[in-house]
Amino acid sequence: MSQDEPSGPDLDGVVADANAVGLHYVVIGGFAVMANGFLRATKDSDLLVPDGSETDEAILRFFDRIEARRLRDGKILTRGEVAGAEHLRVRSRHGIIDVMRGGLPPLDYDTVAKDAIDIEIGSQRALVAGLRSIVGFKRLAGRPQDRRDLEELESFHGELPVDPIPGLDT
Amino acid sequence: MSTRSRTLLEPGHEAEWAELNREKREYHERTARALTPSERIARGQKLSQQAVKLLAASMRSGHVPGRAFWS
Repeated sequence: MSQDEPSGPDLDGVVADANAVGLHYVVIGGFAVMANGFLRATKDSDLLVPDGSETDEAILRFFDRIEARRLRDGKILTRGEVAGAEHLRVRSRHGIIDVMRGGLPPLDYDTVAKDAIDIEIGSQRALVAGLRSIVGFKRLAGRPQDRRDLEELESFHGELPVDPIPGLDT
Repeated sequence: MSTRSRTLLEPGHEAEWAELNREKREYHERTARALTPSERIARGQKLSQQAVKLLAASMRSGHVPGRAFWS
């Protein structure tokens, strides 16, 4: 399928190809909200990845495998553009993918991965952000959609777990 | 070697996120306009199938109670 064909997000494909190239990641964003109980639409796949040169190389292999091009200009990203980037947004044969580095605790990669749920997606295992991490990401972003996600998750789970976020709560 | 020195996942990057959100919104508006009705339906069905599979997997793993399907 051409990457210009607007096929929508394909999480099964993202997970299969990320695993195939050895990329460490946690699924965050809309798909993670769904995995935690609130079914809603999403237009892309979001991955949180660790820092480091090994991750940079894995991202390059991943982007090559999924025929990724930067969304804003269609450019194939180079090693230099991947290394040091805190956020990468590409279109690919699996739809739009946002790749983000972790933030400060509790939104760093290690904390989010430790809190993540390990589930089968397609025929592959994948880490998907747990409720505690999702609440942190949503509180930080604070868009109307994020507030709605929190309301829906709270109506389902009850009182949500809230970790202080530096700069937001302290 | 990775030289990353900052993250967007902290307070204070509202302007950058607003620009990223605008970029994505405009892209999706453009692509949505190009879809035929049958393509829109197919896309919605594909997303719905993924969502249900994902939630079912989460339930099987014991992370979400079964009532999630009916809430």
